[in-house]
Amino acid sequence: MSQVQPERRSVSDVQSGGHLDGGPAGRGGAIGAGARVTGGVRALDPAPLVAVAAAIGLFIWLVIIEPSALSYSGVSLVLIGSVPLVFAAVGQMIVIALGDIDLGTGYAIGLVNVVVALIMTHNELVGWVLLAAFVVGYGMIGLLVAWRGIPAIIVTLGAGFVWLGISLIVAPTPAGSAPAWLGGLMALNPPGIPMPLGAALLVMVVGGTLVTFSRPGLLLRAVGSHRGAVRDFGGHPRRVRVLAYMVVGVCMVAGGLSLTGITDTGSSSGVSQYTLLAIAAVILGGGQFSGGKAPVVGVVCGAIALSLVASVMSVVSIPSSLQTGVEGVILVAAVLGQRLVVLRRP
Amino acid sequence: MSFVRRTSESYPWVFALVGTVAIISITTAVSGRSPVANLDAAFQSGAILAIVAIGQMFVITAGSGNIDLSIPGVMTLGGFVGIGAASSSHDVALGVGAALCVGVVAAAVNICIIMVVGVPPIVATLATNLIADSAVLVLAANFNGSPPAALQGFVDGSVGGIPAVAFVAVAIAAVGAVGLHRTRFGRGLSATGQSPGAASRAGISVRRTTMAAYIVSGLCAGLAGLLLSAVTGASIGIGDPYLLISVAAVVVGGSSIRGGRSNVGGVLIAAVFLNVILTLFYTLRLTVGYQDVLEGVIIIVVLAGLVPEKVSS
Repeated sequence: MSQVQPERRSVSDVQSGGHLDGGPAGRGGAIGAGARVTGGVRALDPAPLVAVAAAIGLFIWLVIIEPSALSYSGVSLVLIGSVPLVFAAVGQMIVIALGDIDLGTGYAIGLVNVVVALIMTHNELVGWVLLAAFVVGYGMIGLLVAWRGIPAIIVTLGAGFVWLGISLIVAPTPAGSAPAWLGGLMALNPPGIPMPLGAALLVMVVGGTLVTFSRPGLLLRAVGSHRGAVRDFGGHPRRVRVLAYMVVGVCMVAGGLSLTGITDTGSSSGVSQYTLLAIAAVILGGGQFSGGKAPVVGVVCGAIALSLVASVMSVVSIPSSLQTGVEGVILVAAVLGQRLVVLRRP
Repeated sequence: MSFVRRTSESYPWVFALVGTVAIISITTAVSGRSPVANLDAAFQSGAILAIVAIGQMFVITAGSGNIDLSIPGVMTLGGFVGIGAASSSHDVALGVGAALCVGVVAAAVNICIIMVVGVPPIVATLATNLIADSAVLVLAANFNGSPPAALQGFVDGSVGGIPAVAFVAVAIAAVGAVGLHRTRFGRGLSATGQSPGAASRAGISVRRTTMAAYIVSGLCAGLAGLLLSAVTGASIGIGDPYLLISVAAVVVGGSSIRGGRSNVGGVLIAAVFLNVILTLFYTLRLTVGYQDVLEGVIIIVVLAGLVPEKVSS
């Protein structure tokens, strides 16, 4: 992997593209990759557009059935449930951009949820210290993957059991409540824009900017697609991976905090669904398991679309027993739509 | 160190075996009872885990990100349909057949979504799982079947202190091992997992081989669901705990998560290992939380011990 180092490229060389595309995934090929990356302005990646269309389409469907959804409070109510999934999906997106996968997302959010509801509520400082330790713990996952070469799918599987176990120790049964400030934050009604929508837009703008234009964002995508290029850019693949996992930990903290703010309780059950929903949101948003792609806008819209499916199901007159099945069918249809768009514009 | 390295490369299941023996010894020492009494339950649930994990192993061996996350839904649905068919017809064979049919149908749905629609397996099988869950809810609405006495007697029965289901698992493992290592399909499957391109150039139909792997997994999940339901009665969500643990059993048993390298005997040992751990935790009166933490740590430690290929960067 050690190649003759060309002069360090600056970040601005690759700012033109939303992602480092082309070339075989992973191994070497830094110079060829660099040439492609720097080769002019790229066309907009069409894959995330499907997620955007799905989210908007589902919302329109919802409004047709339930017109009251198209109001300030209606949008707040419909989208508030999507906030934890948005953070979970962005975390999962980072892991998938590295070429890894996280099977512990749901339980990680559950752990943050119980720590916040049962510990932080009573002792703010201890709560934050524990959450910081949790973020370091997520970094340890990256460490195991990077240094020992254990596949991430297994480390995160094991870590998921650990997160679930600790949550069960902290809260064997649902208990606790959200800290006052957190409940207030989630019930916030900023003028002009409903809180969940504003939060999603903020994540898109900040996350999208960081991933596309910042040096860490560039290195993140490079680790997943052109490992050799990481060194050319002066980065260290292992260090990038560990730091990226810590950022994932921060996303889990954000997801767990928002979940606590919404539910006002700490519960270790009912969170496992976030794992697979987050993976689905990433794929729907244009991520690829081979790594290298971090389409923040698509992923956030994917997460919103997936949680809108549940909202639509609850107002459409479909027997409740069939709802999960229809969710599955819509999931497949959405990914099919994405494939069609991507195939038409290779 | 090199001895450990060499052993782990040639016999990756050794860790699980050593761990199993060690944990049985500890459990016996702690409880002060004959190990057989402790192990009965571990072998019974270990056998059911082994059956689904063998199916999961076939799918994972196909490589290219193939994984079967529809197993929990298929197990539960197989249990409902199988128990329903068996109790209404008073024919155990019909129940088994019905459960296997559920597995084949689910596999067909998986295959269709993956290959026709082109959805990544992890998302496709998740969708199938949701659909199966839905079917379960529809069936459960007015379900009043109960496991036939003959089936219940068989599943709870034991021969020489070893539960009858353990023999079923060993038989399936034996068939699986022969199928995997001695048949054209099995070798084609490993080749597909190692390199789909090379396999296809060698005249193996990668698509057909992968399809067959999903069918094996569906059959295993359907049957395991029926056996599990015969113990507990058909109920919603009985398959759910098997989602992640089936993957864990495959990798702890020494198969590669990236595909191409599989080990049927290892899966069998790993399934027992993961269950004797639970027996030990139970004997130590650990609460569920500590059990999960320790199980997670053990999965990571065992895998860290296996150390797959060293990463280059």
